[in-house]
Amino acid sequence: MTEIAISQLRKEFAGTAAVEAVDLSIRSGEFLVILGPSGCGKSTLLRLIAGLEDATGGRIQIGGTVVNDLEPGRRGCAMVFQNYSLYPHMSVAANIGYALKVAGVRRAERQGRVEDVARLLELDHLLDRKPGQLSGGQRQRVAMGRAMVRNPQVFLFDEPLSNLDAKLRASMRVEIKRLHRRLGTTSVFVTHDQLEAMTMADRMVLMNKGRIEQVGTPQDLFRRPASVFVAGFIGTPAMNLVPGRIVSDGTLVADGGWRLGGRWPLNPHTPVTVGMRPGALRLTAAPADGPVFRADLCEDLGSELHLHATSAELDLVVALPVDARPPSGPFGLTVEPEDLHLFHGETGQRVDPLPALQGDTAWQMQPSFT
Amino acid sequence: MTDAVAPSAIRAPARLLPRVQVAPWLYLLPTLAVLFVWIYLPLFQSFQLSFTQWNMLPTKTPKPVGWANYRNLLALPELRQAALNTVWYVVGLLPLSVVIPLAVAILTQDLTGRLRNLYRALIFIPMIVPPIVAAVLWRWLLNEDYGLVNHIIAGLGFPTVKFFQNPDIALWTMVWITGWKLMGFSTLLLSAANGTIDPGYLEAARMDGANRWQITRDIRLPLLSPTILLLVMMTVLFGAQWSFVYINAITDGGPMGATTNIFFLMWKYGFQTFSAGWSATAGIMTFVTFGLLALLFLGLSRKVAFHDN
Ligand SMILES: Nc1ncnc2c1ncn2[C@@H]1O[C@H](COP(=O)(O)OP(=O)(O)O)[C@@H](O)[C@H]1O
Ligand SMILES: [Mg+2]
Repeated sequence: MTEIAISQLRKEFAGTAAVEAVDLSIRSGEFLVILGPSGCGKSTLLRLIAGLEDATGGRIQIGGTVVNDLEPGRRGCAMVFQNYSLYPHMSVAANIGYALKVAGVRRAERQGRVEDVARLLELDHLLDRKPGQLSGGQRQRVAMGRAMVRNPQVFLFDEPLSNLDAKLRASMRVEIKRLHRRLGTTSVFVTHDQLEAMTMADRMVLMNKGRIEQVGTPQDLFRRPASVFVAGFIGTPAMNLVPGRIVSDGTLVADGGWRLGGRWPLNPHTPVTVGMRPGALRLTAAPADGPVFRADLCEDLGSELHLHATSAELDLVVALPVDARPPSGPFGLTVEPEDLHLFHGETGQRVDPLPALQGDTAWQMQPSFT
Repeated sequence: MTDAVAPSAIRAPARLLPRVQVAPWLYLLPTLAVLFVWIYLPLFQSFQLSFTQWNMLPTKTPKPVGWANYRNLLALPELRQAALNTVWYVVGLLPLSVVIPLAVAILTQDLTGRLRNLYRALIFIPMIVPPIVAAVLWRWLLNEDYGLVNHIIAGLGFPTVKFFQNPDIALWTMVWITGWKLMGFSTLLLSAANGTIDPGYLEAARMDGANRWQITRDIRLPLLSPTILLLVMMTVLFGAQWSFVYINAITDGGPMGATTNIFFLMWKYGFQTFSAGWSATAGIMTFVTFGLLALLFLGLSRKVAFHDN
């Protein structure tokens, strides 16, 4: 049972906060992914948990013990570094076994445990090599082995796959998930790659400028982004974000006089940001009122088309099935109200729609946002 | 130098000078010429000279004597004493040029700000003092009658020490002065090497549960081994030479040859007694000995030292 509880964690470098106001509880045995753009403080948060950085404020508990003042080696965490940091002068076996050696484990037992781990990671035939003689994927495995050999309570991964080529990355992703299923060790995995995050995470944390934007399952973050930042960060191609406002009769109008549906708990004249996934947009005939679009570019990804649609005010991306024919003339776009994401224009926070009223059309009554 | 120059040199003039690659050699020519005129030629001439007897007067021609110089020198107690002293110089210098600087570099690695500047100044001042000034300085400091050090020793109630006159002590005094001058350089080199160790290795070791001492022993020292070996090699090969100025300025090899090492002896034969043949012979013997040592070190460094790339 190794849960991690973080409260009001803060880390400053020379007066600038790299991590602030972080509250997070990581469940025992879960695979938590920390996602965010470069420089948002992911590594710093991970290193705070590891003990490689000292917190400026706040508290970190691992398995119920406050570890703020514990040395990294005594927190029960093992880490896989981005560039692996394998000891260059030691053999693979010595690299994997170093933690045991330092812990005073006798040579014979040490050798046995190193061999067990090596077998699990298919490194048995490489034990005498130096890290310099290994390929990137093999180094990655050795780094994993070094972390696993102590049976740590927590695994910490700092972008461990970012130095691998795409194919290897995909297979290591699966392998790490398998290992996690097998060992069931609480794991915290940092990445800037949303595909990695979405595919690996039990739950994920999206960070921005040192703060947590949202915590939840990958589906939570994709279907119900808590802020404009989350909405724009998660999903490929990115969600279309369009400025708009609530007009006097309470309806939502996006820039360009585009009337959109839904009922929103906002006062008239409130500025908002409207989010529409590229896949949620539908082509229609050019409307009499509202924006008229033209096709600008069409990218064929093989599995779908990405149509760049431009109007006087808007630039949107529309995802179409491969068999669709991009319109040659002017056209309009519609979106079902249930597929709209609305964010407060000033705070950037999500605004959920009001429940549908009697008399509204049937599709609006489906409880898709609750 | 050659690394940087060669590739472009090969490419560009290849069109002007077809086939034979003259350009690289042209670039190398000045260096090769200097090396030849100032190193290899004198070496060869010394070799010739070591088989002759000559008093360095231009009017006299060197007289060939075969291996006599070698036989005579090897039988000379003076030479044996100097050779043994040379070994002591090296042995005495190693702690000062390697062990202490290594300890200082590692212990001061976390110093910051003002303290760091102070420590650097302290360590580097001896390095920039000219050797002859250092010699004069230490002759004053260690003088038996009015030297500051003996003043303090006497003040503490101990008998004064004849740093330069006592044959049992004089050599170690010279070793200290030579080493005092070297420490800054070694510390600088080791600090720099220590500073370039990837902090990732140290963090990995901390995660593995290693304490400070274990990190030093298992990570830092192996990664510093090329620099350590370089310093050991330099001390062994050149340490005794570096003491020449101090011997020359302070003890003149005395008392009773106690501070004479092989380099000082060579110089004495050549320029005090004008026995060019003997001087050359001592020089060639020293050259061969140290040349073999250098080869040994090169082999060792390939085997032992770890090079991180
Ligand atoms: N040791 C450090 N000293 C000063 N600033 C740092 C240090 N480590 C990180 N930072 C700063 O903290 C911020 C977050 O860094 P980091 O956690 O490495 O980001 P990420 O891993 O998300 O890319 C960055 O602005 C970075 O410049
Ligand atoms: Mg990072």
